[in-house]
Parts: sequence; C-alpha cells; structure tokens
Amino acid sequence: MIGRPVDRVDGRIKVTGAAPYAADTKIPGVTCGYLVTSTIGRGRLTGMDTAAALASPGVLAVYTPFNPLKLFAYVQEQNDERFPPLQDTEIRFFGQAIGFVVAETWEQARDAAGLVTATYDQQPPVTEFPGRTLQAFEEVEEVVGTQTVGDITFTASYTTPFQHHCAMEPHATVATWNGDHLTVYTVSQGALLVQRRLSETLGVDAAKIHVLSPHVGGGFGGKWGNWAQVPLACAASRALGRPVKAVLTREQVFAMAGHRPRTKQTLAMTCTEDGKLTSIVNDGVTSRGLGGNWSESVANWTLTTYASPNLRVTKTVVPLNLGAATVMRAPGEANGSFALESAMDELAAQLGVDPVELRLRNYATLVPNTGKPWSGKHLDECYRLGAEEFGWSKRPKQVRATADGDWLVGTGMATATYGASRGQASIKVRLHPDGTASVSGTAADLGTGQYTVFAILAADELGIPVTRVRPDLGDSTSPAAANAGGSNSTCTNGPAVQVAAKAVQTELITLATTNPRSPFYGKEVSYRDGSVSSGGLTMSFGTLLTTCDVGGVEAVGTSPRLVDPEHGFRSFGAHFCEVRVHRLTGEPRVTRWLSVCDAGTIVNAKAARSQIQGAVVMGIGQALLEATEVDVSARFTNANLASYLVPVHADIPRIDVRFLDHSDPVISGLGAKGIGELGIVGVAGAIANAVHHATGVRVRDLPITLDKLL
Amino acid sequence: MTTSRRQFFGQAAAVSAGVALSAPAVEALAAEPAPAGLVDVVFEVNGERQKLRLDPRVTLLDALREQLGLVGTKKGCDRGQCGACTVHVDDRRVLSCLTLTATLQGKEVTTIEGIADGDDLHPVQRAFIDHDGFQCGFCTSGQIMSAVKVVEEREVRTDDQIREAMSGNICRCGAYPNILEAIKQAKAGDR
Amino acid sequence: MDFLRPETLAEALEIKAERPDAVPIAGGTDVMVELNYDHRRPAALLDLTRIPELQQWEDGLRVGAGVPYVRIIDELGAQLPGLAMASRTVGSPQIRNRGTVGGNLGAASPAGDTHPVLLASDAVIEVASVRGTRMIPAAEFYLGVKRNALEPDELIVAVHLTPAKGPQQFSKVGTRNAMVIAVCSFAISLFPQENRVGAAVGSAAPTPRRAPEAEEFLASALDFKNPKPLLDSVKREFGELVSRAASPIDDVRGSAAYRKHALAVMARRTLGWAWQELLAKKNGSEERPCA
Repeated sequence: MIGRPVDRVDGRIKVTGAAPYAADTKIPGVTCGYLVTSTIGRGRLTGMDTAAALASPGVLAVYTPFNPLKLFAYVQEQNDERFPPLQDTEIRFFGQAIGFVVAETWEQARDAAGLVTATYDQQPPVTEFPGRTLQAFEEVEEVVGTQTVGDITFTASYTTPFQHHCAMEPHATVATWNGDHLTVYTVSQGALLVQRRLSETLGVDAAKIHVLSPHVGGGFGGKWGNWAQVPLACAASRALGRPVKAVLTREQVFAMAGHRPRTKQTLAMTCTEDGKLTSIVNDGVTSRGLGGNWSESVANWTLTTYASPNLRVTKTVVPLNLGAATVMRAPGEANGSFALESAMDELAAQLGVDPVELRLRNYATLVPNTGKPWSGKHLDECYRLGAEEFGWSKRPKQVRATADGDWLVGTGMATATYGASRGQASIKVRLHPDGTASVSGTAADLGTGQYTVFAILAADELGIPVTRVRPDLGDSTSPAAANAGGSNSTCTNGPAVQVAAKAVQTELITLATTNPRSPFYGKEVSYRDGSVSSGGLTMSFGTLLTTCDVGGVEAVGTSPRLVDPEHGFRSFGAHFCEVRVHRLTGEPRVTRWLSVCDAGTIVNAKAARSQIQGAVVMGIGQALLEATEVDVSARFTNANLASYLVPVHADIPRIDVRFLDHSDPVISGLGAKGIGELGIVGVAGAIANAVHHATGVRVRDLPITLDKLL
Repeated sequence: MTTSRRQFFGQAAAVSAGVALSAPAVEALAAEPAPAGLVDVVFEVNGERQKLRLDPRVTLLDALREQLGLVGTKKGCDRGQCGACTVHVDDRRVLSCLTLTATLQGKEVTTIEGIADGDDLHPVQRAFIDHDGFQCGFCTSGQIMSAVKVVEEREVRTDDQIREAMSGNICRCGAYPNILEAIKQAKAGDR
Repeated sequence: MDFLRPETLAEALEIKAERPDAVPIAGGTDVMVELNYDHRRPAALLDLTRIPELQQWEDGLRVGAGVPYVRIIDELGAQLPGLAMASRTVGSPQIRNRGTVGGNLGAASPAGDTHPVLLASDAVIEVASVRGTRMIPAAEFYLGVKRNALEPDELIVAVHLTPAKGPQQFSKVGTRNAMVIAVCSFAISLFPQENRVGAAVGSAAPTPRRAPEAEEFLASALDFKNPKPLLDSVKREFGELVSRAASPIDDVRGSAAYRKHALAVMARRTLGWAWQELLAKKNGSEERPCA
C-alpha cells in the first residue's frame, strides 16, 4: 500500500465545503475582535483616543497599550513576534497591533476600529538594505579549509526581495473559556506550539488549554508562529466572559504575520581548468524584522551542496523596522540555492562545460563541510534521468539560439536539496468495535496530505483498508507528534504511526487471550489483516471487541529522535525547465517543467507529486513575480493579492514529477525523508538559467520581471 | 423630508419584490418595515428561500457565513482578488465578497453546499478528488464553483482556455495542474 | 448608513440630487473593496442594480452604464471589437460577470482597462442629473488620478459609441498572465472612411490619455484608399510618438522606462494587426467580383 497513489481521506469534506477551518467555528454568543494597527514604522505611542469607538454601536471593549489585556512576556523562540501585543508603547514596525476592538458583530468591530486614533512620537524608520545600518552585525557561520585559490575565478552578487507566504486562509483564532479552561480554534502548524505560547503569555497551565486546529488553509511557515490575534482573542475572551473571534485582514497578514527576509549573497568561487571547484566563499546578508528575532542563514546552502576542499560562509544580519521575518517554505535554502545555482550556470558558461556535467564533476559523495557519508544520496541519478527525460542533450550550447515567432526559447536546470531529520513523535492508535481504527497525534495537515499518510501507514500496518482508518490531527490533547515544519512530518510521525499500529495489535491480543468473553480466552493467537486467529477460528477486531463488550483498545507508540552523528541527511532532486521570453516586451513565461526527486520512501505517490508541483508553482512565483515593496515609512506598499503577485492558473504549465524509488533505511525503517520544501529549492535558479539561455540576459536580482529582460 | 423620502423608497422596494417573490414574503416585509439602518432582503440560497434583515454593508459572503451558517464559502482577501468566495448568482459565477446582500432581492444564489445531489457528489467535486485538485482545501470551494461554470462553457476548450478561465481563483498550494486535469475529466463527462 | 434602492432612473437621480453623498453601486467591484476595508464610509449607498434603463444596450450604440463586461464580450464583440478585447482582460471571469464600464468610468483609475478603448474610439459619456443630461467626450472625462468630470449630483448613465467602422485593437502588458492590473495598455481604432486614427494609452500617465501627435502622424502617413503594406519606418515613428504621449512613473508594476518602451512596442504591434485586417478586408472585397 505504501507508495501507491491514494485519494486524500479528507477529500470529500474539502470538496463539499464541510472541512472546518478556524474561522468557520460557530459558538453561540461569539463576539468579533478587530485589530487596530500602527500607521508609523518606528517611534512611541503617546496617546490613543478610544472614546468614539467605545460609544460606537455594539462595542464591548477597546484594548490598547494604555488599557491593555495583561499578557506575560514570550519565553520560547517561535520565529514570531518578540513581544506580546499591547504591552508596551514602542512602535517597531508599520502595521503593529496597537489596539483590539471587540464588538457584537464583525461590521461593528471594523467600524469602531476605524474610529480609534493614535498620536505618536515618531522616528525615521530603518528600511535601507543592505544599507550601512549601525546595528548590522556579521558572524562567520562556518569555514572548511583556508585556501581560496584556483585557476579560474568567478564572483557575483545575487539578491532576493521580501516575500510573503500568502496562504489562502488568513490568520484566524476563536477563543472560549469554560471556567479556567480555555478552548482555542486557531490556524496553526502545530497545536502544541499554540498551547505552549498561550500557557506562557496567559499564565495558564498548559493542561487547561485545549487547542484545535483540524484543518489549516495553508501555512508555508507563516502559521508556525502565533501572531497578535492569538493571545488577544484568548485574553479578551477571558476578560469579557464571552467567546471572541479574531481574523486578520489580508493587509494585516502582510504587515504582522511574517515574511521571508530580503537577502544578498556574494559568491566567490575558484576552480581548476577542468571545472573542479577548489573554493567557495559565500557572504550572505539577511534582513531581520525588528518585530521578531529570526533571520536567514542564507549562505549555508553552499556548505552542503557541491564538493570543494575550501568553503567559507558568513552571515550579516540587518535589522529593519518591519514585522518579524520568519520561516517561509525552505527558509534560507530557497534563497540560498538561487545564488549558487545561478553561479554554477555562469561558471559552466565561463568554462564552456555543460551545466549538468559541471554539477557531476563537483558531485559531493561526502557531506562537503563535514566529510561524513550521506545516509543515502542518488542525486546523480536525478540529473541523468532528468536530462534524458527532458531531452537535455538537444539543448543548443549557445544562448539566444532558439526562437518561436516572437518568443525566445531557453532551457535551464538546477539542483534541489533540503535537510532531513527524524524527531521524536508519539501516536495513538485505537481500534473500535465498529471495525474502524483511529490514529491520533498533535500533527497538522496544512494541505500536505498528512491525514492520508497517517491512514495509509496505519492501514498498512493493521492490514485493513485505508477507508477504515480515521486519522485525527490538530488536537492538543493527542499524543505529542511533530509539528508541520521543516519537511519533518512524515519522516518523524510516520515511524511513530507504525510503532503505535504494531503496539495496538499486542493490546488486542492481550484482550483476546485474557478477556473471559473472548472466544480466544487462554489460547495462542496471532493477528493478521485486521483479525485475530487461533486454530480454525478467525475474528475481526471489530467483532472481537463487540463480543467482549469492550469499547476499544488503544496503544500509544513513540518513535524516538534519531541521533546519528555519523551521517548527513538530505533529500535531493533536479529541476529542468523551459521558458519563453517575448522578444519585444520581455514577458517571461515558464512553459515546461520536470522535477526528479530522491526523497526516500514516498508514502502516497499522489499527494507527494502534488506537493512537489505546488512547491514548483511557488518557486515560479519567487522567480518571476513575487516581491513585497517597502516605502520610506516602512509600510509594505503592495500588501494585497492584486499587487503582490502570486502565480495564477494561466502562469503555470504542465509540471512533471518523478520520484526515484530509493528508501533511506538509515533515517528510519520507513525510509521516508521530507518533500514539503525540497520542491521549491533550486526553482528560481533553474528559471534564471533558462532565461539566460533564452535571451543572453543574466538576472541576478529576483524577481525576473519583464523590465529586466530588455 | 428626508425621512419621508426614505420611506417612499423603502416601500418601492417592497412593491417590486412582489414581482419576483411569492405573496407571503411581501406581506411580511410590508407588515413591518425595517428599522433605520437595516434593510430587508428576500432571496434564494441553494433552493431555499431566505429572508434576512441586515446592515446594508453586509456582503453576501458574510451573510452566507455568519447569518446562514454556510461556511463552505471562504474569505481569503475580502476584496475580490483571490476567488475563494466564488458562488453563483442567477447562474453566473461572482465574488460574494464584492456583492452586497441587499442587492440580491429575488435572486438565486448557489454555494458549494448546494451542488451535490445528496450524497452524490457533483462530477466536478468527484473530479477534484480523482485528480488531487487541492491541498489545503481553502480555495477549493471557490475553485469548484468556478470550475462548474467552466465545464458548462462550451467555448472554453483548450488547456490554455481553461487556464485563463480559471485564473480568477488563486491556489497558493499550487494545485493548478491537477485542477486542469479535473476540469478536463468533468468536461469529457467520464471518470 | 442608508441603503437606497431606486427602481427607475428618475428616482435614482432624485435621490442623488438630494443625497449627493450617496455612493452609487452597480457591479460593486470597485466600491466594495473600499467598503470592506473601511477606507470609505459613505453615508448612503445607491443601489443601481434594479434600474432596467442601465442594464440595456441599444443599437446605435448606447451601452447602459450597468451592462457587465461579460455581455459586452458576448453580445457586442462584432460591433465594438476594441471594447470587447479590453473587457476580456478585466480582472477575472467573476469580475467580468459583475463589473461594468460605468463602474470603470466612475472609479477613473489610470489603469482601468477600458479607458484607452473609449478614448481611441471617440466614446461619449452620458451623465445625468435632475438638472438634465450632459454628453461628455471621453477625452474630457478623465481629470486626474481617480477623478472624473462627474458633478456630485450626477450619475453615469450610458456610454455612446459608434459601431466600429474599421479595425480596432487593444493590447495590455501585465506581469502575470491573467488577473492582473496593466503595467500599461494601448488601444487603436482606424476610421478608414474618415482618414482618421484614434490612439490612446492607459496606465502610463495620471489619467488615461489620447496620443494626438501619433494619431495625426498616422492619419497623414497612411493611405486608407489604397492600403499598401506598412513601412517599418511608419510603425517605428508611430510607436515613438505614442511612447512620447505618455508620462509614466516608476511603481511596483514597472518602471517608467519600461512603460515607454512597451507602449512603443504595443503601438507598433497593434497597428500591424489592425492594418493587416484592413488589407485582408480590402483584398477580400476586391477579389469578390472575380470569384
């Protein structure tokens, strides 16, 4: 069953509109919270006038830093805001939460929020990047070897802009209290992340906080952290004794709910005349929003991709008056790979070597910065299969060599790789008298297909059809499983599902042999395909439970964190693409795509293929469309989906995805590595390389827009 | 003067409602005119007549979600830029976030909850499952409501025409290639 | 907030006279965005969706301000090819099902897709109030960024256009393949019988605007009576003059320099297509007697 294409188990509820998302939660008497946000980028609040808002129809309360809801300081780093909202008067970024209006209806809250006025002691915000800001600091991330000499040298700088996740579901939280117990329906990449954060800031025992996040409308990193609406809805609900629902507007999501930082990488490479790299130096610069702590180690992708005896990467952090920068699909690596994959293409051109061949000549059979062996690596097979399937050998060596009418045609390729690891996870499997099995853990399905992974693995281990397994995710009362992030869900949770599904068989056998009502009482039994057998008698677990009048048996299985200092763990892949650039207008279009992936065991071929496709789509956005602009007041000026352009249907061609069939037995018995982020890594590089091949124009600053191609 | 004129127009609205609606609704509306600041509207949602008294600023999207409990239609941007809130009004796909409920007097609205035939999924819904035409599912209601119309539109035939016709519905998970295949299946009428 | 639902145009005009602060709403595709984000809090909304006069088009042509783009595309493509082309590029199918030319005019955004066509094809905007009706040529309608010639008590009632007497073309460059605000746009209308050309640019100045020098140049350079294949020099000069008519800015969507370049490209290409159409028609009609 593992590895076959399986329809999503949550398919029916999603195509009928029945899947419940946080904002869909219906609670009688629910009130609406609406955030008031700062209209300057840096300074101090000197006063706020809330009288008109308070007098506005339906308004229950207006909270501000001058009339705050008490929230304790945040303790854990969750890649979100450094400070809980409304607890101080400092303005760190434009669009920071400075007020929270609660009213009976959404329209009333919105109206009243518009009546709140604020006065500021304003200072000029810092927005310049890379800039000469006094606060910038450099740290050397890693050095291997010391030589930076070779026959051939290549140096260039590459930049990437601010980007936003733009998950289709805006951030929403609904909070309700029953005595001192809090129930929260919220967007989240992990129910435990919310529970922990709320326990800290509300000063409430985590055991009394129940977080429910069964369906999440996309995350991509933007729902890892807990943004202002989460603690505010919960604290206001406690203060008012009423349920509170708070949903960020799309503009607020842009301003305060995280973004991919801006980066600059300066690569200096040396190699021998036959193209063997002798050194790579990558000086990375990343922005950090002053709303948060997080920044990208953008140059680090260089440490693990190509063999080179000398490697040096640095990181310079530039704090800016913006909301928190945070993780976004393949943080560091989506941006990092753009530079190195472009540079490899440029170097190949300089040497007159085919880009695939150059990558094979510098193939890292050991982890470049540690010298350790890989747990499993078949990237060379990805290159070769991809080149063959794509027809790479027919590619003209010259740039600007192919035209189709007014369209210049070019092809490009790039390497994809993303780190893999296995954390600890616990999963519960419960067998029910109706013949179904439920599988639960605090994991999240953001659209990744985690529900179906749980169902497939449990069904496989229990020997029953997928349709008889009911996965239960996004509930903080379940055993602690992996959050959805770092491409970690399946490689961490998958083995735990297997362990739990095995363990529950033991529990079932114990019941069968020790329960006096059981026909197997005192006998030797075995379990197979959903049934217990002994001698000539076979009985399904549902019938057995019914016969014994037992409501269910369950077991929690824990798969421990993998500690393996001997190996390097990564997923790998290769992208091949064709682009067309209009000769006269410069419009670039991606017209053909092939990705070949080596990511260990694939549990569900159908959803896995979709996930790689989706990551390529996001990569096409990164390459050609997406950039959030900041003006002198530190405001994101294009904070909406008409001005911040994500790909629409007409931008996307057919995307072919192939998976190599190599399990990785070192990472787990299941052998699965991550695929959530792998697919976006290298996409922008492949497109930049194809654009260069089509036009002869090398664009080193994303996105590659039409005005750069004339 | 202002007040009387407002009453005049309020009555005009009620009288015209009689053209499109059965008598009882008109009587009910005429019997108790809406208090100042509120407006009455009677329309059909998924074949059921609904009578709402609401703040005139309430969009169809908010009326569906907050007042009628039909939360399958999603709010992704609230400004007509994402397509997640697509529904049908009088058999045409429109954005419910840009439609004021008060302008729907006598109109017929269909939402994602109204296209399946009981437990039998609409062929487009079935095709979305078959081809994995979604991931997170948040844009899916809107995608399907758009796709239902694209399947009906005979002049939309080629892959590029389908892509263009579906470009009002953003999918950040990037399910576009699978959505295309789902629509082609539904257009072909096979499974 | 009051919600006013007139049944007739006369009623609507009465209300507008009494309540000039009432914001008219038809398709809602512009007004609603501001309403939903509380950027605009009108004292009253004037619902124009129930007025039959606004939802019709009549031969001639008079297109009611409330006719949605989808009907212009479906019903008026033969008579108003330029407007239909521009309508096809507006927003998304969902927007085109509701949005109207009247709304586009009311918003008067420099990037509105239909403006260049209205300018290039000599559209006249019919506006009305209780004081009477005014006919405003499109060229006099756009006053500034999101400002038009409408008085506070007036409503846009219809757009008057002559059915195309010659080839019309529209072109738009966008960063995305669909659902995109124009980086810049261009429309051309040929009037062969009158030896005249209409040309206008969008998203390339504070208002949509005509390119009069380009129009005059082309009218003198083209021989409509005996059309010959176009000289490259004519296309180039036309493109240059169109580009010069614009005064674009750098913004998120594109640089001023790119817009200038793209306008020249679009002018050359659309002229090429339009002229090709004219030649084909001429040849077709000359050949007919022989056939």
